[in-house]
Amino acid sequence: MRALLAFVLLILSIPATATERYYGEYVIGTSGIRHTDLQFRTVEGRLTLGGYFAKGLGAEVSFGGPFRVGEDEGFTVQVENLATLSMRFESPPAEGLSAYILLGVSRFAVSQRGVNSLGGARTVRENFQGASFTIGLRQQLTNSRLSLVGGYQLHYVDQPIDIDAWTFGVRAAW
Amino acid sequence: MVANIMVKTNAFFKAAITLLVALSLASCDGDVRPLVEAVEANDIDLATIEIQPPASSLMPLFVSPGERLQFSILGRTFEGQSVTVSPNNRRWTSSNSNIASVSDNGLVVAHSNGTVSISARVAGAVSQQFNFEVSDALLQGIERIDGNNGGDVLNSCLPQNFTAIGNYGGSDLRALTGVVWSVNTASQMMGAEIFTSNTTPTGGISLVGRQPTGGNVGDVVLNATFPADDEIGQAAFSFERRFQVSDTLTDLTVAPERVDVEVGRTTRLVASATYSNQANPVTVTNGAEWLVVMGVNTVTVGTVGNSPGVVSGVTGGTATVRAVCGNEFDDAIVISANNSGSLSFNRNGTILLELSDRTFSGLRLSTGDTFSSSPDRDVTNEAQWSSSNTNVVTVDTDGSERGTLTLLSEGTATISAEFFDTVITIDVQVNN
Repeated sequence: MRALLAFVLLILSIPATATERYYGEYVIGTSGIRHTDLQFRTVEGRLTLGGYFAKGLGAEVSFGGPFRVGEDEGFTVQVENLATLSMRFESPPAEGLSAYILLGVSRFAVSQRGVNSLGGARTVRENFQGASFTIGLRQQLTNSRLSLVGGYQLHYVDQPIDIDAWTFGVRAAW
Repeated sequence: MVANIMVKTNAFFKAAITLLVALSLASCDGDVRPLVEAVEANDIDLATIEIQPPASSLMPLFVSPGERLQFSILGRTFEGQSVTVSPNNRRWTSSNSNIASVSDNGLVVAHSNGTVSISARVAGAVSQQFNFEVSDALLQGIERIDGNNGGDVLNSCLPQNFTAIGNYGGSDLRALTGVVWSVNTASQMMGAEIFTSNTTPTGGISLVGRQPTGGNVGDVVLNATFPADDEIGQAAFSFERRFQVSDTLTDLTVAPERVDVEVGRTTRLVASATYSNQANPVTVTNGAEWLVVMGVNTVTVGTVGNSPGVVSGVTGGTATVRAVCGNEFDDAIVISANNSGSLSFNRNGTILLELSDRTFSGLRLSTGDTFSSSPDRDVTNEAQWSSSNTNVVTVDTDGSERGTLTLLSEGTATISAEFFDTVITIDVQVNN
């Protein structure tokens, strides 16, 4: 926690006029998971680190973990160990506002728990890997290296399960 | 120069995006089935699963290369009750798919010699490992013919399934496929027949023995021959099993006793037999002999091996169809008629009757838009009759008096007649 605080202070201490080459994001994501007739909505936290290697073109890696499980029909579900490796395509900013698209590969586990007739729990956990598509907006705060980010992310795993997420958070660049 | 750089940059972007999308899609992994199965498992309260080979399999199980086996899954609830679990679209696993592979639907295909184990996983529950051996050993002889619960007495007209068991050496016994079955001439004269169209899943046969009509019981000899195959050096083998046809049949019943059939369509009769050595009647439709004993031009009936008990309407009229087994027989009345979809009475308007007449037998019914008394259209004796007011008038519903009205008191009633799901009504007024 101290390290994180120190990192944030370091980022904030860098003048806003310097060239932004690297960035870190922390977002809260609320994921929708749907299979059979069940629909779950979970909450995860995600940390992203990335950098630009050309103007408007970057690469990033993000990791996430569960905050809150989703519930439906007596089952609970959570998304665990979310990891995404993406390429970022970002528009030039207009008054600090830019749009971006992320294309990448994501890997995560879905853990589902149900209670049987004896009161015991049956938990199944399945790893998924597939394509990840994100569209979003970033608004740079005035005279700051901080930005607000929000987006919609879709995971495609070629299985009859729908997994998407709305994310909102803050980015710091240096 | 600038344009050249932009073209190169655009090409780079396109290539990068294409590569990334292709890599992302190609890297898809994961299986949603455990999550879906967990829902199914909760619905049926599934606790454990056990996989099973085909019911006819002998243990220990040996199979030949190329052979296919459909495995099933038996589930048990937390209370120990059996539940049906579909074998389809599950996670089946073979310990060595070079020896035998298994599909997502539990279909095992043997490939080469060796021992292999199969297992399945449903909603996180893992079955036992089912071991069996794939072997291309040659048949060394026919060990026995299984069936009839091991008994040597055949109940007359009651078909039984039989399977030949081959010996491939040591404990390697297998249910044989490709066996040629026969009964000897004396057995055929006894009325014994093999249902070639009713083979068992293991390649066996269904045999029926019959006590000859008016005759005594006798023996039936069933022969199984495994043909030679010179290409693989397989010798031929034969095996006989002898049965006695019993005289335990005490009653034969055909149901329904009376049935309607449209011309050009079929209906099915069922024969049930009561045996002195069995607690309850059993269906012998496939084993009984069927014939038309009256009205042979009106209907036809299928017999052994050819849709037994299935009656086809040929022309309008009444027929008697009989099921026979040894000295026992029973009849069903079959009404065959052209169903034009409409009915007509021979009277129009309200029928006015005097109570003092007590009965009225002048009401008749035929198929068609207008009444016809021709035998193939007059269905007075075949229709189902009813009265809306049985305090005033009743109507005979059985026998040759069908449709005859009995007048009971002054008043009105509606008489209904039904034939092949078509209903027609007529009002009756009884005056004193």
